[in-house]
Amino acid sequence: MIAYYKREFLAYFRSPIGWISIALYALIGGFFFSSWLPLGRIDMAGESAFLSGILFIIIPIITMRLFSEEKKSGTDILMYTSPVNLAGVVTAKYLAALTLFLMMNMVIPLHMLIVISFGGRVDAMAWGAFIALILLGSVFIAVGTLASAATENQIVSAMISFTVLLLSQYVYVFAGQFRSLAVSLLGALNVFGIEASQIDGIGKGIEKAINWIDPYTHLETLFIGMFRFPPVFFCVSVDVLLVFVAYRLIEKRRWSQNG
Amino acid sequence: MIEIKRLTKYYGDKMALNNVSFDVKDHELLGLLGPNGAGKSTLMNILTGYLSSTSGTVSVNGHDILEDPTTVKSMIGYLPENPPLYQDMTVREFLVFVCELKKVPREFREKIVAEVLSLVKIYDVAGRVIRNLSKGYKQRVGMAQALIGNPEVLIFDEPTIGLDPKQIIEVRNLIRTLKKNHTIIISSHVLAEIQSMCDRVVIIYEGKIAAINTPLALSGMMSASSRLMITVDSSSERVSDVLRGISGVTRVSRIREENDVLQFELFTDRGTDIRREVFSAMAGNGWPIIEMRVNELSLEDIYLGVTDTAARKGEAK
Repeated sequence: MIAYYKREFLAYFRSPIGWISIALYALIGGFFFSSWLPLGRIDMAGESAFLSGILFIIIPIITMRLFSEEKKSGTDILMYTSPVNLAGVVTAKYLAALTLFLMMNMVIPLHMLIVISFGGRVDAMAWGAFIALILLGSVFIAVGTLASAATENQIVSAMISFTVLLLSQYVYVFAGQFRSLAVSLLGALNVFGIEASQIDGIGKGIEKAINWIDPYTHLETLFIGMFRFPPVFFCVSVDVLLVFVAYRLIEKRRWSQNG
Repeated sequence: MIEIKRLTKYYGDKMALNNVSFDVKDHELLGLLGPNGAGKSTLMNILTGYLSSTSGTVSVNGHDILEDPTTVKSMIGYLPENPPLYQDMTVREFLVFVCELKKVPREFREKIVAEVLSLVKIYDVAGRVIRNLSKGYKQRVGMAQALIGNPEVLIFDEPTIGLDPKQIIEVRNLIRTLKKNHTIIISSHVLAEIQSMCDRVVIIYEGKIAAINTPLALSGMMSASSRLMITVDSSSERVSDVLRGISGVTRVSRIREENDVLQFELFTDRGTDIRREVFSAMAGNGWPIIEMRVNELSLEDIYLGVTDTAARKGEAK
């Protein structure tokens, strides 16, 4: 597992992907940071929130090759025929991408350091937003890992994760629309004689259920500086679940291939 | 060493392997011979744990590949048809990575990599990125990764494909060297390669075993008769009559007549050696023999014969 972790992590820096991702992230973070300078104060929580808005572009780029590349280049045979645990390999690849993501995010503590060195204060909200950004990134990387495990083509893998991550930003919109749809349908076809208040309650329930799968909903409290354990538990659970599904997909594809 | 029992593999509805069974002994060099699509690579992929079989078992030193995959995989070094190489790594980095995969203790890694580099003669490119190497070097790096960890069994799928003649000779010599310490299975559709290297040959045709034997025994098995080629320095019409008169000769065929030199092919019953009688008969008539050789069947003849027979049987059904 460590061998694959090291290989995957170093592979980012043998190609332009690692360097470009770090540079792009630092550039965008730096742009946000410097735009506050003329105002004489810095919104560090805002920087994390701002950077979270570009994850749906950056994460697919760093995860697209994790498994798709192995199949394309024929190195998956080495993975399958070596005395290694396949679940460990999948985890190692996920952790390698996560490590690169953490490196990219070091730009935020660096900016915090600059703020502190000039006598500024980094509050709980800034730290909360930073942690929320890392947790959100970890979930997105798990989505990207799963997309890469699902296809042999890097571009298709990137497109799948890009679409899923982009749509994930609008889950609350879909939730609201589903609520309205459910309320109007139940109202129009009220065969069970349900009261209007109950119909509204059902609508709210549907909206809440859809919002529950949205990581943003869980991370809201962290973004405003309130530390609670459930958001961390939710994100880590989703990471584990998606990485496990990726592992099962790799296993399944191995046994069903027409080689 | 390796036991393969009733191995069957389906890809959807297509049967790739049909009830294949054979054993491989310790330090044996076994050749898998068959046309493209015969099932050689499928068989090798199952042996190495890359694919599962639909039914049947594979065991190495008593360990079943499905029940104890990690142990079996640690005993096998595998070079697939396309070497599995990370193109972005240097040769040395890649081999160290393979050492880690094969759980070679850290303190031995450098030594083992150095040994393997010199064994496959790629020391001079150890620091180069694999992407920039020639096909021949990449093939050798592929062999090097198979040798890491000193596995008891080596499986090479078409190890000389795409190499130039000099590289082919080098790879064949390397495989012969490795035989001293390893059990080796190689696949090839190059008949001469199998014939020159292997102790035993398994001929696979349409997923079934068409024949298993030594290259020599297969020649004998397929040959209904022995053939003797003889060139005589004479233009006499009597030569063929004299040859027909030799005991054991079943047929005489004149092949060539040129500048008072005659060439014949003599057919005899299998196992009958008539060379001495031929010599005496020709010498007695004052006809010098310029050339005399036994025409053994090549593996190509055997292969075509066996596969034709198998095809005919299939058609008859």
